[in-house]
Amino acid sequence: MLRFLLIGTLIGSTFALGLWAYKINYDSRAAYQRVKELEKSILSANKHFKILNAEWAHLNRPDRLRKLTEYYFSELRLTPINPDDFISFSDIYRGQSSENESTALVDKRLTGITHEE
Amino acid sequence: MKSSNKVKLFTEHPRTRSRLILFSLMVLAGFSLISGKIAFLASKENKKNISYTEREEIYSRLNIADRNGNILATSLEGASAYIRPDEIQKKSLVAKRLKGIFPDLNEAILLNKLNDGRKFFWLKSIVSPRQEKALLDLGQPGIYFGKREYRFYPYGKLASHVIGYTKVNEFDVNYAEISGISGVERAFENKLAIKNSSKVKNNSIHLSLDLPVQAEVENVLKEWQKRMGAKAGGVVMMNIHNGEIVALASSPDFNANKERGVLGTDRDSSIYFNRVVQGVYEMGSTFKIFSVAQGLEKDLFTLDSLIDTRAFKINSRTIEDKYKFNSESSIYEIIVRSSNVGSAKLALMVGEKGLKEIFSKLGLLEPVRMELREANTTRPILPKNWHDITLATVSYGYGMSVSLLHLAKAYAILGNGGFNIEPTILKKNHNSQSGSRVLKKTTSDEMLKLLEAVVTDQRGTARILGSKYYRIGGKTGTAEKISIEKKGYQKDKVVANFVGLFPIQEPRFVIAAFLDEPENNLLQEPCRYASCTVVPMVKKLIERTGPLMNVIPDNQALMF
Repeated sequence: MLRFLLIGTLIGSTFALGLWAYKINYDSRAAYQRVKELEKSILSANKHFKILNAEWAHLNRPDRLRKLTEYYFSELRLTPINPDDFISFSDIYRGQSSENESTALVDKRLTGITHEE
Repeated sequence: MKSSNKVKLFTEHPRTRSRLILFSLMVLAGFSLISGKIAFLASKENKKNISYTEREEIYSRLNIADRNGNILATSLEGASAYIRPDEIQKKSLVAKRLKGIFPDLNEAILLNKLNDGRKFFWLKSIVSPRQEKALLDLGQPGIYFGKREYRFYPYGKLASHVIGYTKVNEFDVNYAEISGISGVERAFENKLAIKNSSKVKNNSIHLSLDLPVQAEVENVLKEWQKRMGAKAGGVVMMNIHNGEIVALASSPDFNANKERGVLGTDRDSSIYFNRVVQGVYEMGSTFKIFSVAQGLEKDLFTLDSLIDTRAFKINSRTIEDKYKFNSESSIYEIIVRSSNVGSAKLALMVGEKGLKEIFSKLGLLEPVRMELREANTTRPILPKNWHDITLATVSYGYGMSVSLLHLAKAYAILGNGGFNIEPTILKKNHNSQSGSRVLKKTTSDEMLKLLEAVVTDQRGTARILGSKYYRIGGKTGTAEKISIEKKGYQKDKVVANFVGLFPIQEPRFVIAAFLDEPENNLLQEPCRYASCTVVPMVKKLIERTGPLMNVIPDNQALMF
């Protein structure tokens, strides 16, 4: 009786292990497939990334930005950075003491600077 | 008894025994099979063939970026189009439609290709996404696409000479190998064409260039070249402590996107010539300062020493000045007012050995060592012999030709306290000097004083450079060009240049600029000297780019 049990258990466990190995095999194949798909989508995302980065750089061409700032000057008043734009700490302090004075300072900086020397 | 017999029967019966062994063996074999398979799976994972991503990106070139990560060159995936004429029925109609998509194609040639019995031909080596869609919309069999990687330069002409360009080497239907032809694309070919770029963490090469500064420099250079009617021009701006080139512009320039990797034959090849790095010119008076530096280095004189500045003869050639000088002038005056006679006298005092020594220390006798191949292959043109007359003329910049990059490097060494530097196009992570000392600190200090005087002294040749924002020092140079037709120099054609250091109280940058055949017609009389052509340009360049590089204006800096 004991031997039958033993043999039965052995056969049973062999089947179970076989099944287990099959499942692992199947799962790993599926996982590998998923990895491949993920890699594919990463790759396509990377490609999009690259294109978008290149487009962004292309849109930020200095000559284009220059034209845009000229076009929208009346609204945005963007000017190239100028040595006058550096303000010392004492200027900031002075600005705080009188609101009008600081506004005047900002105003001058916004309107008083021209593109050409 | 019976039962014990039975037991005996079961275990000791030869047949039962052998069955038992056979069964055990089968179980063992089963287990071995399973464990073998597990081991196989485990080991296969390690030695797995290249993954999908790697396979796809294996030929993708790295990006080229500026110091702040702005992409200057990138690789994008495009398509090439090819045709199998066998599969096309209405050939003349197809030719007409293709002409509609690609206006640059010749319909007759296309039709001929379709009809002459060939099995295959390339329609276009690269088609834009829009053209690709138009081709697909034709719904025409016989038109095929192959994957193509192509190089895209988002900023077009910007820094074109530094970045360089590429060409397609080998190609077939699914693959094209790109390789660099000039500039960074060539110099870093091995790094850029790295395999498996997806595995590289940092997929860009970071250059030392600063995009806004470079853009501003090119803008001002082109504007000024036009204004002065100059044939060509160039500017290089470099950190004098670590040799980083912040901006390098050569005009005229080119748009590498238009080339699509292949050089057009009808184009003017001179646009590809990097005038700053590859062009060697006689520089004129910018050379005068070198014999002074050597004299100070060897304690032959001080800036106050008086030198006889009357015209004199060497081998029947008279050396004289354009402007009137006293019979004796100080070395200070010789440089500030740019006297040829004084400079020649100083060179004779320093001697051949001395002059060669200072030239060698400043790197003027050999190509500039840096990453770009264009620099490594550009040798200065040196005099064949060093007679007295040669020493005299070389001292004021005739008879010896160097590139603008050579000059920038030499002035950087004079201004950075006397340390050797090697210009680089790659971003460095430190700002410290790496080179060894080649000049005394005192020599460098005196040089800075002298160079500032050229700008601040009322008689200085660069006095119009005086900026209300920055303290600048530098030296002008104007050299007549050698006539190709007849022997001698042409009075009306000059190369005007200027090399400056700023901010001079604590120099950070050297700027070297030149214009080829400039003429300032905006003044009462036309003027070709550097003082009225290049110097105003440099002033504008410094005032525009200084703030971009966080150089705090001097008048304000004192308030902090």
